[in-house]
Amino acid sequence: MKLVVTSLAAERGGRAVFDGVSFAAEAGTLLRVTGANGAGKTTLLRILAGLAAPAAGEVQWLAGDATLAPAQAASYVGHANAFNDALTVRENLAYAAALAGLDDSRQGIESALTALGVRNLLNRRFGTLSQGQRKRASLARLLAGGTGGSASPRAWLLDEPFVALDVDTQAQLAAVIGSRLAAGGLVIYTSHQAVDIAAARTEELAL
Amino acid sequence: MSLRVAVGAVFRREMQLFARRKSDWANPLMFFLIVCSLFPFAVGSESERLKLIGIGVIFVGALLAAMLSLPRLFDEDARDGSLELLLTSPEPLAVLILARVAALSLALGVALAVVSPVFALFYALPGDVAAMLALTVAMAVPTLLLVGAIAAALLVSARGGAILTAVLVLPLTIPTLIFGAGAALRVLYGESPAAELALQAAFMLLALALCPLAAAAALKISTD
Repeated sequence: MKLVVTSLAAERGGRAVFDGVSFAAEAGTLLRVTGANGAGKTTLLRILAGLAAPAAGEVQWLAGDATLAPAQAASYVGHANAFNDALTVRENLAYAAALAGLDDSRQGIESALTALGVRNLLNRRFGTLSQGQRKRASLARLLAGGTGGSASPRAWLLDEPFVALDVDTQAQLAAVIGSRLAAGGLVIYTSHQAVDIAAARTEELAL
Repeated sequence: MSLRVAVGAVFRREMQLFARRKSDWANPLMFFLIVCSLFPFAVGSESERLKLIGIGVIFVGALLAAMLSLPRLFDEDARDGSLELLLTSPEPLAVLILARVAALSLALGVALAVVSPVFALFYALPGDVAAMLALTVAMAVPTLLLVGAIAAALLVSARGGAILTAVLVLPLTIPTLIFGAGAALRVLYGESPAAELALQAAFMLLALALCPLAAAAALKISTD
């Protein structure tokens, strides 16, 4: 998996947020996007995920010689948890995995929750969880599909993944991201706090 | 293969939500009941007069009740962020929207179609007219939800979106209202309702073919 971004520009409400952003990131890279509030970190991730259209420039997800659609190349986790309060954690995760075209089996979901230390929440209604538990359960959807069984697993686009997590969980998530990178994943994230993540290649993009 | 999984997941989730939150289908039904029971108080209870307005009142009541569940289509998902799951799915958005509207139509359409003939008896309408009303309401609800999906997608998380959705959608349901209520009137006068039924079905199929595509495009624009 390789991401090539060429002279990207974005607008919000008719006002330019950033322009002339170019970079490339290969599998195994941890890319942290930094910038002041309003610099366009979230906008950039949404464009990479295919949720928003750029004002100019191009985003290319490449797997070998083939160009992939963002939906096939990346998994996006934004500020919101994207889970419904009335459904259980398992039902929410199965829905997310099925829509993403990933493994929605019970075993996959259980092992994803175990990796984030919340296996016990499997059958709890999402609406009854605390903020930290919600965040963890919601992040489990990244892991629900495993590496997809392919040599180049989907890239992760994480918007402030460490917000609302306690210190232990931050370390847990950092370990999850680290092992994804080791498995040949590409992880792009925004964060206000500096978190130690084991990565072979770390890059930073300042907006 | 994975399209089938995704469509199944969307459909199943709607059904789970309906099963878990009774208010999702109980509120429209209660609203329908109240609307239908207000008219006799206003126009008097002579059975001849009730018979004449009954078909129209029940049909419009059913459409209004179905309207109530339109915000449920995308607004809630936009608030909790799960709309992003739908939008970032590799599967075609129009098909996923169709699956969701189908689930909503099935749950709500069946419920409204079942109670319509009961209300028809309040209005002193004969049994065969009541049965025809059930059939035409069952066709009108999916039509309204399909057309409504476009407006709901355009106005997702907009302020005052619910009222604006009603203002946009209800005029577009006039054809299905004319043919649906018309078919029941034909039966009341002892004539064949075939022409009206065929036209109503045609209108539903047209909505089925066009609306999911338009709703998908609208949703992409409004969430960009």
